[in-house]
Amino acid sequence: MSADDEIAFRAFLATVEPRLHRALAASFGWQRGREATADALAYAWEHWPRVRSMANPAGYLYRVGQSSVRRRKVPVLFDRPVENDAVFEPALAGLLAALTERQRLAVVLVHGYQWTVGEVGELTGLAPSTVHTHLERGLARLRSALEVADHG
Amino acid sequence: MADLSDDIRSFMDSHLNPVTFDEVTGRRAVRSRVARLHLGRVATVVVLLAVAVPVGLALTSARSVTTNHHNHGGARQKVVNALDTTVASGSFDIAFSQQPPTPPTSPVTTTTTSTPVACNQLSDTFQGTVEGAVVGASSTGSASSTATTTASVPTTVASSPPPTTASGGNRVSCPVETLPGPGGLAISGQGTVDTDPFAMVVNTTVPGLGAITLRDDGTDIWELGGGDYGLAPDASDTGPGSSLSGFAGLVEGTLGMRQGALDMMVLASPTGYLELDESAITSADQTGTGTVDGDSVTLYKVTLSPQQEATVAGANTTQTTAIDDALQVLAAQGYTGTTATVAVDGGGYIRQITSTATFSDGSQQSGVTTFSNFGCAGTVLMPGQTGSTSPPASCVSPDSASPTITQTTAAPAS
Repeated sequence: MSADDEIAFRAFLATVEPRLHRALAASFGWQRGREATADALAYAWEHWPRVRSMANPAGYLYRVGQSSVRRRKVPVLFDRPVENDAVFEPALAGLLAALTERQRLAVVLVHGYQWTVGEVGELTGLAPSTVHTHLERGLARLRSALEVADHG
Repeated sequence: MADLSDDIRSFMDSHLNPVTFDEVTGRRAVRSRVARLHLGRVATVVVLLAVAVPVGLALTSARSVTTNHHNHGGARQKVVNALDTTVASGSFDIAFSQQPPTPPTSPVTTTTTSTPVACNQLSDTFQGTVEGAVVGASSTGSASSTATTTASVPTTVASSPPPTTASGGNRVSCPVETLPGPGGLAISGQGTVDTDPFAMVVNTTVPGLGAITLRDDGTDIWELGGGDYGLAPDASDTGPGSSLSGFAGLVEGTLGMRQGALDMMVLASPTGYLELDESAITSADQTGTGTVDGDSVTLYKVTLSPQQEATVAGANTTQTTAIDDALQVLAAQGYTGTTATVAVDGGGYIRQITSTATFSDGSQQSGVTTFSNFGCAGTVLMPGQTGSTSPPASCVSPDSASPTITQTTAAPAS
């Protein structure tokens, strides 16, 4: 890979990694999401000429990461952080883990990170209306569960 | 809800440690090494091909025995890498064609034991004589046969072929190819394969049976047309599905034991028409270059060991059973292995596999499968499943300069 390619890839990494990482972590949890992100970006590095010419490289790499994770067949888990527990709702880890993968993806990216449903759809290949549906259902489940937690 | 939004972001960010450039580029070497070391475990790799046909499907198979281990590491590794890349794409389209086995070229004693041999929905009993042995089909749609023959020609029906229409109004289609022996049919078709989770749909037209759509989820089969295997009685296109291994009787009954068993190997493969298992590859050599669909490809000749084909990494219990059954049928037929030419494009994807399976009597069965639309073939659904079948709207396959055209991969709702 030439020096120019490396520079271009570094710029690509800086732009794509945060979004790709958040999306894959939302889908598969921190550990698996990070592994998937690293796998997908390693794929991009190995196939950089092709990836850089893609119209939607982040969307393609999301699928690469998705395939990487699913081949491992490891359960989805959000381990509750040992620190900063007081910063957010203590039940959040379990509640997010209880959502479906797509509901969790939509809730985290749209509600947590303020992505538009269109942006989520572009990355995942889902129709915006589908993302919206998953978002609504996921939020409804979270609200319901949080009420139970608050009153329990 | 603003608080919840902040909570979610804080929660997620609490353990998001960015992936760095050094980690990515260093991971490249690690992945390659891991891929080599774990090929056997992952099952993945390596080549194959084959072909298939479900009650009419077709495929291309590739297995062969070789005593020469010309494991030219570079070529073999490139094939393995191409397999890995192709599987990792998640989905691809296939187009295949398959020729029936050629006649034997030398006398050979073959012991054939098959139970059951079936050919679609048989409503009437018929009997035909095969080189002195009696082959019968019962009204249940299956038959058992045992024949020991010394044949210098394909073992086919010596008596009149069975009826092709039912006197009682039910369909009876059991052409001569349904009887043990090379038999076979020229078949072509197209389909889509999802690799994770595995799901495959194939459309083909089988002489004598017409159009057939086959869906395979790795455990069960739904055959629309032909024997309507896996479909509910009287239902036009839905049903609970029936076991993969139980489908062998129909496939082998329709295509003959050789072509049928080779096709069952494909149907039972965790990667469908892209049947791969590194442990089965005994050699690989780069043989030249060519083009597939206008794209330049590098050609690798690969030989596969049938002794290794029983162990397919990633296969579930049902698939393993079906593979074992097919290998037993092939062994009884004198199968000696397959050679295949694997075409790999500049992006590292397997674009075509041309395979020839060889039998001890000199008979050969060949097939060609072409792969395309990597990562953009959509989601294959089984009957009763719901969900989106479309690939990402902006999906562009590495083998295509334009957005993919989605073909129908949805299944009828139950």
